[in-house]
Amino acid sequence: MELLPQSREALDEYVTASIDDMEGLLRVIEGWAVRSVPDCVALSVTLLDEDLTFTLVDRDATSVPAHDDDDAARHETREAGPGPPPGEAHPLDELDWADTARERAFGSIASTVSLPVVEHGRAVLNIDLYASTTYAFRDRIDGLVEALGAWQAGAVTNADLGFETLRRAQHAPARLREQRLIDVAVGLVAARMAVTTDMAALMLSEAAERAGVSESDAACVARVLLA
Amino acid sequence: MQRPIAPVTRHVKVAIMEESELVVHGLRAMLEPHSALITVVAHRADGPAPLCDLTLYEPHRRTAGVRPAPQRFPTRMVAFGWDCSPEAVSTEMSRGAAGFVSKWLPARRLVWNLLQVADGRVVVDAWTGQAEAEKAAAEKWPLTQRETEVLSMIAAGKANRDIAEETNLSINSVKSYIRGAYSKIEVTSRSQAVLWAIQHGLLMSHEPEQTRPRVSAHAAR
Repeated sequence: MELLPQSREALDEYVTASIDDMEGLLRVIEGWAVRSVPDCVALSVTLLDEDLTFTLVDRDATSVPAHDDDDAARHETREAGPGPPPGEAHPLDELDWADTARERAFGSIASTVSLPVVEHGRAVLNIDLYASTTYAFRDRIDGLVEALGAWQAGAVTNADLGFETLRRAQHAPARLREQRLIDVAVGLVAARMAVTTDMAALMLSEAAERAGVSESDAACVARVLLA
Repeated sequence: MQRPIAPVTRHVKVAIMEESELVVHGLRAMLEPHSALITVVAHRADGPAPLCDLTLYEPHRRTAGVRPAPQRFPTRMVAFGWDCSPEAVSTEMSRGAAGFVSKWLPARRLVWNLLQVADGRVVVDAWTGQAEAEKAAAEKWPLTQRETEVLSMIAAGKANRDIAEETNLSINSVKSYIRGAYSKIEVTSRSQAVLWAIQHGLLMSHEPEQTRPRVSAHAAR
């Protein structure tokens, strides 16, 4: 499986003290998933606290035309001809690739399972697995739950046949950019107002609400005023 | 470091000029254990000059409204000040002071210096304790230069990819430096890291040419 380009971008930006190697973790999950369910063609991992989703897709199984000759030929034709701007539908364009992957994946995905991972009584991670056959997960959920350390009672099948997690994964880089803006502004507010970062975050959030703007807009203003 | 008291054959009398009661009484109390060697008398400029071997005076401050420094030196005059900068020392010594001793000195060291001056030697001891404090602070600066650089870029709101590009590091190295810095400064979020960076003078200008923090300067804070 390959990382969605947006997931690659998000992984570059995402840093946490608790997980040294997020991509490594994704690969471990992929390994367990593929070994347990040979028909598994995609998986998504969602960090619930951060509301971040990373997705891996098997391009061949989902018929995603990343490098096939037909697409390359179409691409060349568009570049040579008077049609739409070549960048608009470039096969390597990240958004286009993800959209195409999602659209084509609909046809390839016949069953899904969602496995929450619980720590200290709280769900921290959601693992979504997607398979190309209808009964791919039958009699295998127990094994997956054990292998992935998931919460058995929370396992749900066929809840995401529309591959919604892929859409969420597409938005991860934008979410991280927005969060970076907010984090820096919170640090600035905390320093200038001599308050804790928790208090500064609350102040920024309330200021955004009073002004009727998004938190990231308020963060931009705070940064300009306080930096 | 404690130095031995210089051997003297006579008692030294030190006048302290134009000082507040606090300083006069403080100095007297401070030198009381050494009263066999040295005693302190107060000296007002408008009063008769006491018979003494040395006179301590507060060096002239360059601010308005401060009393003038002594123009004549009836006895050996020793500058005795809080400001021990090289500029302050050179100013007083060039004006003919017999010595310069810091008001930060501990008693034994001050006595030893004054006895030296009373013996006719020129003594400058501008110790303030701050150099040691700064050195200690520098030694305690928890971050490596790379971690400092990366953290200052985080505080400036740069993305990891931008930091990697500017520092010629791989993304994984940048993330590793970030995790290392967070761990050393004991923060768990970017907001806390930004706050720490600001409190320690690491917030950079957005100008590219000013992106490199000077570790030694920050370390002294």
